[in-house]
Amino acid sequence: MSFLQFNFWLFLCILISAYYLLPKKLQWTCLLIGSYVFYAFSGVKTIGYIIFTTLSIWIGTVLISKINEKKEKELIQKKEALTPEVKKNIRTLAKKKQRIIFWCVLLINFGILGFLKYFNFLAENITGLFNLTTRNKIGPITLGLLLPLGISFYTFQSMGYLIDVYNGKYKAEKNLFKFALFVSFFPQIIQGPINRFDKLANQLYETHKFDLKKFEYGLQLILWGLFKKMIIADRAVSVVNQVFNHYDQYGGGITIVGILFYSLQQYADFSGGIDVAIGIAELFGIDMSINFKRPYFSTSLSEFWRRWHITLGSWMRDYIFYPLALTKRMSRVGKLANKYLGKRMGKVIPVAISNLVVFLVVGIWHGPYWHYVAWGLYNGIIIAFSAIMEPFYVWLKRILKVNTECFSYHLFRILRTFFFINLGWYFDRANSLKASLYMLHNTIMNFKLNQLTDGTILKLGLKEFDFKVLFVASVVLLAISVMQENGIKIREFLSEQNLAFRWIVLYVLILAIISLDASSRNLLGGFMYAQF
Amino acid sequence: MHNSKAPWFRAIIFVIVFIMINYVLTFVVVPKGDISRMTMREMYSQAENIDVVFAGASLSQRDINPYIMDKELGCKTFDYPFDYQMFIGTYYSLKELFDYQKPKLVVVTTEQTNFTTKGEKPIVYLSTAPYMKSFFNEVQYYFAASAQDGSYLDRLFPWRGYHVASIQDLVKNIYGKLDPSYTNYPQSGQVEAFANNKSGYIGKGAIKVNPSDSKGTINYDNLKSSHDNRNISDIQEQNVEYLKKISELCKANNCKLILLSPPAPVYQVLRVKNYFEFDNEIAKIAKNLNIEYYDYNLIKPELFRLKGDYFSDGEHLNSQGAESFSESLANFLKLRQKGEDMSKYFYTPEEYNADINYIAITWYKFTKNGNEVTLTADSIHGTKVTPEYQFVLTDLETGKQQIIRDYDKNPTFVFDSTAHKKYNIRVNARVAGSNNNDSIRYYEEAISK
Repeated sequence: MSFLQFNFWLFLCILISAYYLLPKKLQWTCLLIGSYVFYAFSGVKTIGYIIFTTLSIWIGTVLISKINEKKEKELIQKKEALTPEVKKNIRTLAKKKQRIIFWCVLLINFGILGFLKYFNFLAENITGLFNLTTRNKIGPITLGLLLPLGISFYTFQSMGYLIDVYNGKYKAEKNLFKFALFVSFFPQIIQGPINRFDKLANQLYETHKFDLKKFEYGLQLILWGLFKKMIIADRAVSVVNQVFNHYDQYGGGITIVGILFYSLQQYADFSGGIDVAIGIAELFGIDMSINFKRPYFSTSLSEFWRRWHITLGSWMRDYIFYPLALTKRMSRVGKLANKYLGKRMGKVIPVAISNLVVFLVVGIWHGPYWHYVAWGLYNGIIIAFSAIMEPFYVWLKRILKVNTECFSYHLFRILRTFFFINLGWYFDRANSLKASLYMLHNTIMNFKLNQLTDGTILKLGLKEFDFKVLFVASVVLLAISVMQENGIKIREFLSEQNLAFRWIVLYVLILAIISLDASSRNLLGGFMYAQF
Repeated sequence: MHNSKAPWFRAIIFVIVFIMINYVLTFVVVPKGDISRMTMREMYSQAENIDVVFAGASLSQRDINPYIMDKELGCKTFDYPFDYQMFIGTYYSLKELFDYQKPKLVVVTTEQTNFTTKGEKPIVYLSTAPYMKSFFNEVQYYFAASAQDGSYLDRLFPWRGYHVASIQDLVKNIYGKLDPSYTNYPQSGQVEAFANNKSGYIGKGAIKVNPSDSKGTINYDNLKSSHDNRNISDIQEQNVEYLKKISELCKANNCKLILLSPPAPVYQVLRVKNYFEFDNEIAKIAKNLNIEYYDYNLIKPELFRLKGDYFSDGEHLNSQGAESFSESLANFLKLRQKGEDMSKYFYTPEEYNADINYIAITWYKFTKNGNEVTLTADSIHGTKVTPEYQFVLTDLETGKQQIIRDYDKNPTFVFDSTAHKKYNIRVNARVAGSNNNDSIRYYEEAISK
């Protein structure tokens, strides 16, 4: 079941009715049943994995919490009798037990994710390496593994919870079914956002009165998400697929067109899907974390990553970047850099290394392909390089007397960042690393300007009418984004307008989605991030 | 009104206005109803009960002339087909019919793709459901058909599938829909006036195709085709399920049901390697469902002699063919009614194949390697026929024709095209050893550099 299928909306109507009509204390149970029904309809064969993840993490976290409680109780009860050394021993022993449980649960769950997602990739590469060294021609072992829906998202979300409980950020949820709801809450399961327990759980468990205004806001956000997905992304994807799947037929000019369409498609698809997910949660009175903040208005690549797939970025920051940057080993690296390269480098180098690791993981998270790895590294390297070169830029700006406060400089930074983001998309979207490099080479060495004017563009899978629709829809998207960038909250803004204006806007939006929806060409094509 | 109720009131009004907008758009944008609407309305308006119904899709619409059937059978018959309709649509259309008519016999025409299709096109629903009187039936049909292909929106918002070419078209459409002859169809004399048409809609759900019209008779030359193999595992359970429902519906209404494959051009039968194997599978399915099934392609000449020029295209009969077929079918139904063993009127596949002693169509494919062109001819013919091919080149610059290879059983020929820039190649095919020029089939294509 996908957000784009009519069955889903029927299911949602039934669930919402049950949610608000049943006694309030049953609301979270209703959501849990609904979430599992949704999951079962999406892929009943793989439901065992999410149940296993839920069970293992729940058991692990409850044990970790119990050990902690037992330790605290012991320390309080025998407060007077215990020497500082015994107290330390009790703490050390408790931590040791917790650590064992923590690592077991962590490794098992990441192991499942890794096995399901990367086994074929590893087998292929190991066999390739073996064949290369032995000159054999053995085919790789492949397992017909089914990737459970949303495994990357629910594994990361529940791992974040495990780490937080282990670090004592909050106590473990003792009710298995309530925890199961946190893991499986259906709007987030397909493509995120990756929510945090402390932000989401209470909202899931507490009762909600029907709030018509919030309900309307939720519906509006769903409509906006569908507008982005069905009118923009599902049109742009035709051009993207054509250019990237037949990259050797086009020169650099058309390749750039493909890249720009991919920028548009990916943003409209992913942020559209997230808007739908957040909007659906709002129908139940639940606020989920935002995942996008107009990323293409970023003035640097690191800012882009704070505005794009925000919940993945913050997950990486909290659970990989900081733990890595603050390790003793990294601190030693910092000291060495400080000694030989100066004070500034002493600070920058550990951050740069941690960033590289984070983006390598981000790349691998996206999929078991070398081009994703290259894309992750590309981002890490650019950000690390920018951090290292920062003093030079400051010096250059001072020498050239650049006014950094004016609009043109701001615009320049946005365009510069957009350029680097798009350079990265070569690696992200291409069908292989070889294809990425080929396309990059073509862009520089074989531009074929004539392909931009000889009608080739009109043979990329879109009709002239579709280009016009795409243009107008993109202008609307840009206008809304500019308004948001200037601090205008669109839904509040709309609610302040006269009824006639408000309704006209909504009717136009609904009718546009119905009449200009391009997804019916490929009904089974869901959201692109659903595959992760 | 109390303030707390105002938002609810607004929300309800919002939805009502939206439904009204949808109705207005449907009225303005969707072209005014066509033959399906007329058929449905005629069915409702029949003063006398319809005794025999011919349901299905365009095969019934074009192949069966209800006026001839009326005359031959001496009872009231009616064509009740809808373009592109599959068993699912036929089921819901018949459900509607049984609320107003009590036929004694329903003949559902079919073709093999009715069993393999994965869903019915939304246009079928849109051209029938809006004219059904039973809202409940319409809703059931909506959900059942949409569940098959997921096209819920296409069926819910009919206007979304239409492209508005100009404002004038919209205005014309509105005027057309407001015209009393449209809104009150069928008024007295309207159907009778159609009945005199030489081509087009003739009333009672039937369409006539005049053989002398430009597209009234199929041309078997220059007809590129291919060999096909129909996979029995491609039969969709959902189609069998709806055929079963049709059977149960008829049974519940004390009505006999016949499943009938009307005649198709010979090449359409022979091009499918396992046509008869598939046909047997349909017969098995029908038998399991207690439905009589007949494939009229196998009918013996004593009941129907199929002629090539009976067809207007690769599937449908023209009016000449329909006339002949209708007379034959009426005779067939009468014999059946008398209790005769109808199986004796049908060929076995072997007999059918043996009866085809000619080449139905021919064509060729080519590959180029520099100036070297490899031509590979192919044809569809009876199993006992051995074809031979001749290749003729027409130089488009000089207009000169030359035989580049005379008749030979080898379908492949390689020739050097160095001397020609723009040219056509024609392949002539005949039964090996035959000198009858009338039985030659050909296919011609431009092969330019």
